[in-house]
Amino acid sequence: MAPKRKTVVISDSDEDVPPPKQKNSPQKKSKSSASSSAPASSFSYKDYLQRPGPESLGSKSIPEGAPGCLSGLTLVFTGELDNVGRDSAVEAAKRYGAKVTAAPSGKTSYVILGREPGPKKLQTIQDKGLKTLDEDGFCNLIATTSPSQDPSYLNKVKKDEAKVKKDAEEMEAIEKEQKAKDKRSSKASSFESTSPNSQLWTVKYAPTQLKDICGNKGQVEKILNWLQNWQHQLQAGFPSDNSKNDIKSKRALLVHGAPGIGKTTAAHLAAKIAGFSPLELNASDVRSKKLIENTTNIDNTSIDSFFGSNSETHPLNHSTCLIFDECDGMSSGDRGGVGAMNTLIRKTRIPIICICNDKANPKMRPFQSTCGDIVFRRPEATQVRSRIMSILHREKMKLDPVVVDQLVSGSQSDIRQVINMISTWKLLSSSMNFDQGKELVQQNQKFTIQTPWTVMSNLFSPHMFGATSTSTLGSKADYYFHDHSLIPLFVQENYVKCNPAKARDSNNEKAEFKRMKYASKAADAISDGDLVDSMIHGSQQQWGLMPLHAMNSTVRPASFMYGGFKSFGRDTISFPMWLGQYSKTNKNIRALGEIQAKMRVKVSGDRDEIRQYYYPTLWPRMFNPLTESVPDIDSVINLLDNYMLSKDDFDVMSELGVGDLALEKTVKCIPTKNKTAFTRNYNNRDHPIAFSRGQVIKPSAAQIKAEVPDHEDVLDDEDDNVVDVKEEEDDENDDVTADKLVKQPKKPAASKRGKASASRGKGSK
Amino acid sequence: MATLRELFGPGVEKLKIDQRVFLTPSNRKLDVNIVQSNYHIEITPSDVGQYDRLIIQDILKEIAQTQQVDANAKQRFKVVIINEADQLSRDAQAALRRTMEKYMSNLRIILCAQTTSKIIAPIRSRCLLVRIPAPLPPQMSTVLTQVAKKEKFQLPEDVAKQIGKESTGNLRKALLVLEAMRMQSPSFDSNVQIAKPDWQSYTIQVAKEITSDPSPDGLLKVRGKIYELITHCIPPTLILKTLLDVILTMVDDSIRADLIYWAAFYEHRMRKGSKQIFHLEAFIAKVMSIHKAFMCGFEDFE
Repeated sequence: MAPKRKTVVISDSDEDVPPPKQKNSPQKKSKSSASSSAPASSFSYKDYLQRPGPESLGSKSIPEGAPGCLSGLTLVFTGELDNVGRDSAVEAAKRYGAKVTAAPSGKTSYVILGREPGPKKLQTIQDKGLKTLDEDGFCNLIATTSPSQDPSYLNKVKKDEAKVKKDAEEMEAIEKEQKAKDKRSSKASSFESTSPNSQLWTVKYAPTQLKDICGNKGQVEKILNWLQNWQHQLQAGFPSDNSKNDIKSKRALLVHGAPGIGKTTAAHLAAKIAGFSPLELNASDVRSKKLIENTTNIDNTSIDSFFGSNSETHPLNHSTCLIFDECDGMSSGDRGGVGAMNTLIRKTRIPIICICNDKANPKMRPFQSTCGDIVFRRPEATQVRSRIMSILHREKMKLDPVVVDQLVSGSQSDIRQVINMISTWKLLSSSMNFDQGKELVQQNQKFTIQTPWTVMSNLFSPHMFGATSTSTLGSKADYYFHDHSLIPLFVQENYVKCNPAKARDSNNEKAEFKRMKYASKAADAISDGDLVDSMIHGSQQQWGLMPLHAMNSTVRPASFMYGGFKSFGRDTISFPMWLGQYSKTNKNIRALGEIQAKMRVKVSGDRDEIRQYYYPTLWPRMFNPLTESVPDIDSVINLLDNYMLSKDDFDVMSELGVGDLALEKTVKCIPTKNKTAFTRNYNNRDHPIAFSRGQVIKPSAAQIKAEVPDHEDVLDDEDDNVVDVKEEEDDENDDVTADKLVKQPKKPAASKRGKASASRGKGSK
Repeated sequence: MATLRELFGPGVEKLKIDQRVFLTPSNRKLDVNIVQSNYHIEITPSDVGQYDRLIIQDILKEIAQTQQVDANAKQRFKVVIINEADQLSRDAQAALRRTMEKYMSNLRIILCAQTTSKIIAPIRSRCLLVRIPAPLPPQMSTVLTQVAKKEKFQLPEDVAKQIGKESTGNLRKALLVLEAMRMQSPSFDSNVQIAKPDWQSYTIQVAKEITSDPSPDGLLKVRGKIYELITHCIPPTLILKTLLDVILTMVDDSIRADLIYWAAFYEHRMRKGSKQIFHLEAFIAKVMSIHKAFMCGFEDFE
């Protein structure tokens, strides 16, 4: 529900009332609506946001009405409709042509009241004396009303139609003119002589004037301005005026924004209007470093060679504007293309416009410093609608404005996609109703990756698993696949913070209990999920289990705990702690392992025992002497040396404690003076080292394979030989490698031990 | 160690530590610490997790192929001590099977394990099983008194007994506790508290929180503390066990059986799964929910 959407339909009353305050729809958590809870003291906005779904859904259905029977009416829905569900009611209202607004105003024809309506809306209803309907009344309205005959409404419709017609005629005129031009020019070249019928609609109805571009007016103007000033700036040497969004001092522009909203069109149009001849390089041209360097002469005295035989049709001069389209589409074939392009931009003598979808793409980084930045935003449905309507008129198709709105919002304001969808639809029929439109949008839905935060707030939203929810199990599981490694962690991190919708309908204590119960169930599901996860990522690699993992780790916990997060404070969705904690754990365990290895000379305990029992005992002996005013540094150093621990280990030890021995409570208490004295003292002495790091023993895979069987068979001979070799070693101490029976990969260790044992043997003799 | 000394003489006390780096076939470097004397070698293959098989194979073969050089040595074989044998992976244990017998002439293997239940049957059948029971509290207090005598201080008998009881058969723990207590209060007053290691007192605190505030918010707070414990190298299974021990003393009889059942359930899952905190949290949530139900007198629903 886009709050600002206006339909062609307006209400019949012309009362002089202030326009409705733009208020976000109830699903969105906005502060402005939070403050609206003031009049009703018992009403809490938080509860309102998390109100439960309808109770007896499906017990009644919305009747079929005459098409357009509600047109001209402005409806406001408030509260939950128990029998039909609010979402489907709103959809029905739109289908029959009503305008649905979020807040009631003087222009509202009816307010449909459900259970637990918003208090502010009730207030407005009273103040304005609006007509209200309950659920049944609404159904009756649909069933009985016939299309509006109200003259002012009809007038408005007529006006709109007339405007569309006029636009269409204008387009036709321009097209004719174009055709005439084409005919003239087609004598000169065979280029561009394609008949309009074989053209794509997106080409056929591409904007030819600046005012035809839907939305982004400011940005287009900026481009135009920049182009018009370009020659002047070139002569001045592009002086920088140090302002932040200073695009005038740049030799090139980087235009970025979502696909299908007219970036390329705008660039071309602006170039034409500013008197440049646009020259487009797009993803279908090879744009490697070599080609760009070789073919585009940096001085831009001639780029003609770039086009070889085509050079005549594209006369290049100083009035060329290079449009470098689809920058982020530079693939591996275009190695170095971005870099070369960037050098070109630094020296160029013609304006360059780079176009990409995603500026954050690492490939686009070089451009950020050299190019001026222009963002194209998705146009609003209202901005696109009239254009689409006139195209429809030209194509003699009849579509309801409501349907067009739906197409536009369904494709996320991708104008190109809408036009393509319609042109495909034209092949089937020349009209489309509401449901068909909905289906078409669904078929053409683009799958965009959502951030984990969006996924979480959607998945745990108060209506996700409610009876009214229209999303299927599959679509819920899809949330997991937005990022299958991160989403489960997010769920685990945040499920506890939800206020489960399921536990709301009971009194305080029972609700508390239910909340805990559901949290426990969700935790169980997550625990199940982890078992599945270890089968996926463990040694078995059973990736086929991912849907099961999706269910267990994501959907099930959400099904227990759904009910919405608070949008502020401690209960917001946070990044999973698990990742940080996991690496911290590993780091500490590794360090502890090192300590254990060193202490092993004196102490037989394993890693866990060192931590659990030795550590608490060692701790006071290590750190207490340092906290005193006259630190007993010697005793600490002796202790460390005794256990072969180093200064690094000392630091690790200080971090391992919890509770009373935690870092904050202990080491922070050691005066800095003592710490420096300790460090100085420690560095001035020699310390025993338990062992030095061993060399890398590197058995190559081939050797392992070759030697293993061999060794099993000839075991007995080998045993005798090994002894011989050892004795030789004692005398010669070299050339063990020559003896193939000594395992080469193990040479360093073997020879070392051989020597060691031999020398010790002597000693003992 | 004592056995080894009997076998080889005092030479076994001359320990040296070696850190060796192994390269797995997939080119991952593994650091393994090896403690050895001239006569024996001690390894803890479970340190390297799933690659333990490699260590077992390499080291054992290497040792098996070298005979004792010293003609004067009492025995012709070397001894390999494998620590934490119960933590060995199945693969590693399977790798041990044949090697154990084949190199009999050159080496003997001593497996040290906390439990035989995780050691596969083929290995168990090749070994002489020696169960070493934990010392009884009276035995422990005798040892403690002896130590006190050697260190020349007075250890009251009841304190010795108490330590013996608290350390549940772990003599090392008992001695360390004794040392810690000695440092804290050299006089050993009769009302002295048995010093608990830092992590244990922290876990007890957590357990108290679990029983006092069984709610999702409480769970969130507890989660932070559990993370704190885990990052400081306290194994999650130990946390679960300690928590259960403490919680059992705080709750009503009627739900204890349930709690123990669930503790066993989640401990099993912890070993099977990969992210142990998830299961630990599920356990805590379960405890909270059971406890809450009991406190409010609600029947379980569903």
